[in-house]
Amino acid sequence: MKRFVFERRLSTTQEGYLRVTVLSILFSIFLFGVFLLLGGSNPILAYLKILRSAFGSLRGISHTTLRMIPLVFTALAFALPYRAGVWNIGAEGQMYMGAFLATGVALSIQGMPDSLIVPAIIFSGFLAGAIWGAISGILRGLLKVDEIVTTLMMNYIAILWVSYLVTGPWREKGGWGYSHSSLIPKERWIPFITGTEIPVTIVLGVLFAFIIALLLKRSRLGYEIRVVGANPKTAELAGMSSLKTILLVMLVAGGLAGIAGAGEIAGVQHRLRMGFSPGYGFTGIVIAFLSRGNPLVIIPVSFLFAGMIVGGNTLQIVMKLPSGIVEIFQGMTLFCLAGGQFFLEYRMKRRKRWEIFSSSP
Amino acid sequence: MRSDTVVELKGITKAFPGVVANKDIDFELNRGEVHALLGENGAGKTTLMNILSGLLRPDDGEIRIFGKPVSFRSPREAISLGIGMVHQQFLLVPSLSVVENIVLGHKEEGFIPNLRNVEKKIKTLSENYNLEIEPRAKVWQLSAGEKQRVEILKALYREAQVLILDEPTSVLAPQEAEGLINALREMTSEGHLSVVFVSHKLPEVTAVSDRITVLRRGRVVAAMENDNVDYAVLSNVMVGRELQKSVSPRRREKGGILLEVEDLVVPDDRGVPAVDGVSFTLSEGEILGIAGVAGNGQKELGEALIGLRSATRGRVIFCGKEITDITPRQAIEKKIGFIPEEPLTIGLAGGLSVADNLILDTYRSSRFLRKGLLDYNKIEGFSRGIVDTHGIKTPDLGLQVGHLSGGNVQRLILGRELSRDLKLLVANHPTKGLDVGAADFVWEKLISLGEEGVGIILISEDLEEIQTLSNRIAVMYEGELVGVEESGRVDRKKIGLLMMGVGKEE
Repeated sequence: MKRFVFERRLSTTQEGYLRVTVLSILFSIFLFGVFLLLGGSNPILAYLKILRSAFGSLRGISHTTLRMIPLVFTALAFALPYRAGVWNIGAEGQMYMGAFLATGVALSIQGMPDSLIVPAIIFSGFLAGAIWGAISGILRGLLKVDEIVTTLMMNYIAILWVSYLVTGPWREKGGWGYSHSSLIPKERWIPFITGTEIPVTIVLGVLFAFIIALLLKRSRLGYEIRVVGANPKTAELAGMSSLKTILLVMLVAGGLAGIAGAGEIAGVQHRLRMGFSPGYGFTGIVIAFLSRGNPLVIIPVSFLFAGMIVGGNTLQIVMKLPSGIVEIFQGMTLFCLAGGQFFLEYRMKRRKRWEIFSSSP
Repeated sequence: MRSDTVVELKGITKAFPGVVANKDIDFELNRGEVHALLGENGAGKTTLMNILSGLLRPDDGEIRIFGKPVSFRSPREAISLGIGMVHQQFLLVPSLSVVENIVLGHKEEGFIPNLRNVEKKIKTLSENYNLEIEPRAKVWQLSAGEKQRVEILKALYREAQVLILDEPTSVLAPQEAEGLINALREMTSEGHLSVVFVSHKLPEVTAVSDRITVLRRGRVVAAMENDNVDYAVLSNVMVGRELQKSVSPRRREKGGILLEVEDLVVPDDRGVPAVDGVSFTLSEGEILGIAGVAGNGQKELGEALIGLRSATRGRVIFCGKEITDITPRQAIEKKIGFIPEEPLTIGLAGGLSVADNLILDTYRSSRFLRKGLLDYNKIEGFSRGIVDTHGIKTPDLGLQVGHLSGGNVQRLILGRELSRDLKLLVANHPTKGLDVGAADFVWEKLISLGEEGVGIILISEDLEEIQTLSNRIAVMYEGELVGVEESGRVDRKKIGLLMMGVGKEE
């Protein structure tokens, strides 16, 4: 006789969501701890190390903020189309395309006033990412080609395209065989916020989060995006164009991811490298999910995830753990969150003894 | 001791967040009887039956089957005790045959069922109970009535002794409904089978049942023998207020011509003409009823008029201008309104709030804007107005529309369409699945709309609705309009036959 049954909940509340999310994360922390223990490390020590290195000092916070920038952009790149019912799994590739064009502009443009060069670099990142995203948008909107497949596949095209460039035509001459481009001249770097080593793209990211939140909640366009996402047929009846909406969100999403690429190259790493991203585009999906697509929630969640990356890197060095460790933790978190979703829709109920099916009264 | 009481429900209570769907309900079913469960939408009929069939678990109360108290963990357990439910929406696989559908999920047949044996059993069953069916036919080939027979046979095959039918006639043409009622009477006459007949239609309830239990707002408000019951009294207890039954459209001063449709051909999703050369005119303030069994092109006709579907031949002229190739947005701008058959499939967005759904036609209007952004204070004021005047029951304007009950969904879409200035309204089954009270409300609104001069195309299978509301009646059969008549001279029987494709040539 089963003592526990699952019942469907009729509605989910905000608090319920928060509770499930927090519990899921705690559970993933526990699971990862078990994992560390099995690997012969002290999990409590490891967690303390993560916390201290990521948030425990000005230097740590600075590192964390630096890592957070691309995450905010790629999370937005998933969250916006998601509201229109479009799954953009391609932020990683859109970011690579943005990095590619931004590097091209930064290394080759001539005869432009200095004050315009940095904006041009950022804009070229946006442009390349937007075009990359729009290709999937057109295919989906016009021909109903599944955007999950196309955005995912186009990631590899973009990543390999960058690999080709930095091992071939763009490879730094006399660079001792490293697979990267030449250094971007210092005057073309995206400037830092005064007194820090954090490029101003962080401001741009936070700004975009606010703009997109406002757009979704309060603009006609945002309303159309929400209706298209909630019921495309109803949107058609109301005279909205799904094609236009889908194309638009994919353009903007691709562009945002593209800025992440431009910002990472022209603001942080200062040269295009093979595999310059440790999967920011995919981590962005996890972040967007955790934030439930809410652009404002994306900001703090990105910060936490950035801390995890910084802390994970420290673990590698200090505790001599393998480099995949951060991804394992991220995977566990996503896994626990996905499992936790179940409890948003169902509740577990303990049955009273008399309720258990019996043939005697 | 085997008593004559097959099912006994005592003090059943079931609450969902925010509503008590069933409160302290007692219900009995005797051997060989048809017991009707009557009530408005949202009265709790389906909840109660879902409890009896093991889909839901009661918060409180007792279920006794043949005198034994039980507590179901799943529908399978209910089935094993002889309780079978036929849901409003059929649970059949279209590409499989009747036999295959019946054995599907039935573990007793083993891993590889002997279909020949099953077929034989089904034949015997269908002969015994007078439920004619071709066992090898694929389900997609069957009419709604035949599919229902398959569902009933499925329950009988699992040796159901109690058959629950949830709104069984809602998908049937009038003649088919009559056939079902006769079949039920016959099936129960030998006393092996007992039936719970869930419905909100008074005539069929009085035609089929031995006893009637009336639910209102989750409680039993009346239980009676079906013996000379008075419709007025019955609908009164059901709705809790006097029905203005004699709604009638009138004031028939002929307005100017509003809409002319000439030789219109509209393909369906497969590209086959669903509307095949239809012509008619509609005057201002006129209600044209288009009767017909679902799937005869009415849906496509309505969708063509509002721009969701394009015509391959013919012309549509509205207010003197050709609108054959109109887009949905132009239709809204030209003051053409639409009430869809299933609003949650098309017409509403279930995941969005009540307020968001109410502005779907009007969100482009500048009255909701402030500094270029949507002003939710104004939107909520506007929504509040519609919610109040149309009696939409919702705890707040932020509730997702998908959580509303069917009647409230219908009120919401009606309220939205009437919230703007209309010239033409295409109403596709506007009261489908609604109870008497809610339907009455819709009817009154449609009639007063007609009196204001709005032309209405009323597509419906409900002959009573068509006759009550329409100034003229046409029947659609296989994509053609067969017979357009002034409603005063219409013989209901003849319309019913025309709907079934009989007496087309006369």
